[in-house]
Amino acid sequence: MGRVTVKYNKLPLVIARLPKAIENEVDEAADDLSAVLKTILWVDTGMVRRVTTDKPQGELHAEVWIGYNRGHGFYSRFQEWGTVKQAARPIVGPTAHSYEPVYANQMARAVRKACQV
Amino acid sequence: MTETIDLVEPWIYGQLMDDELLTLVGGLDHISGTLSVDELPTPYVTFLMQSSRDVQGNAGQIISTDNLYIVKAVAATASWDDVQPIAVILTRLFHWPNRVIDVPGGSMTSTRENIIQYAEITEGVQYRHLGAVYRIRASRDE
Repeated sequence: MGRVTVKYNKLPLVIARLPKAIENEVDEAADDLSAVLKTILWVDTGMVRRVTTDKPQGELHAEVWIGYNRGHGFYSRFQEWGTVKQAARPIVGPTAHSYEPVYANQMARAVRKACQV
Repeated sequence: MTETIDLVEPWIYGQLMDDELLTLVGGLDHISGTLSVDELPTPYVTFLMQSSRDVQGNAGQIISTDNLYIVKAVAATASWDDVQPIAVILTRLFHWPNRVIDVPGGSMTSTRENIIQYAEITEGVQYRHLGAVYRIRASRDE
């Protein structure tokens, strides 16, 4: 049985850096999605063209809102999921779906950054 | 092979042939996929592909497809109570946690991703839409 001697324990430092690194990547993901959505949202429907992001400090969480006054995407639902008279024209869901592999890479990058001590 | 057409949508349509569901909505003409030429009688159930993405190996081989499908019930009603029983059945039919679904030509998993719930008023009539986005991963047999 070999013997391991720990000379430097940087794990506490990594743990301390991890939340900030992840938060930065989460915020970047929200900005990326917002930028993409602004270019491809339903241009014929002015009500839902506005895109806003909410990136609360210190939380590993960000939100991307579609529509005026953060209306919880009220009108965009009709476009995204359809009405009784109009077929769905999904844009937001497919955009987020295609972004998933990118987001996974961003999270891996955040972990790597936090480990570079 | 196109996994969505060959594997996923036949399975979805087959699931929607559930006796309890058909009884509740009023029959086969209350079920539709993606587009319907005629206006559907309410209540009805409709499904559509929201998004699809290939999951590829390093050399570009397609391992599976990752698909998001909307399956929802629509009813001309001012109360969620009228559409809720249909949505419950849809969850039973399409949310298969921790299970692999064998279908002709391949295999799939299907889990509920998030609820879809909204109301609309068209020509003075209130409608309720209730269902979910399902993540359906499909792999064809080698």
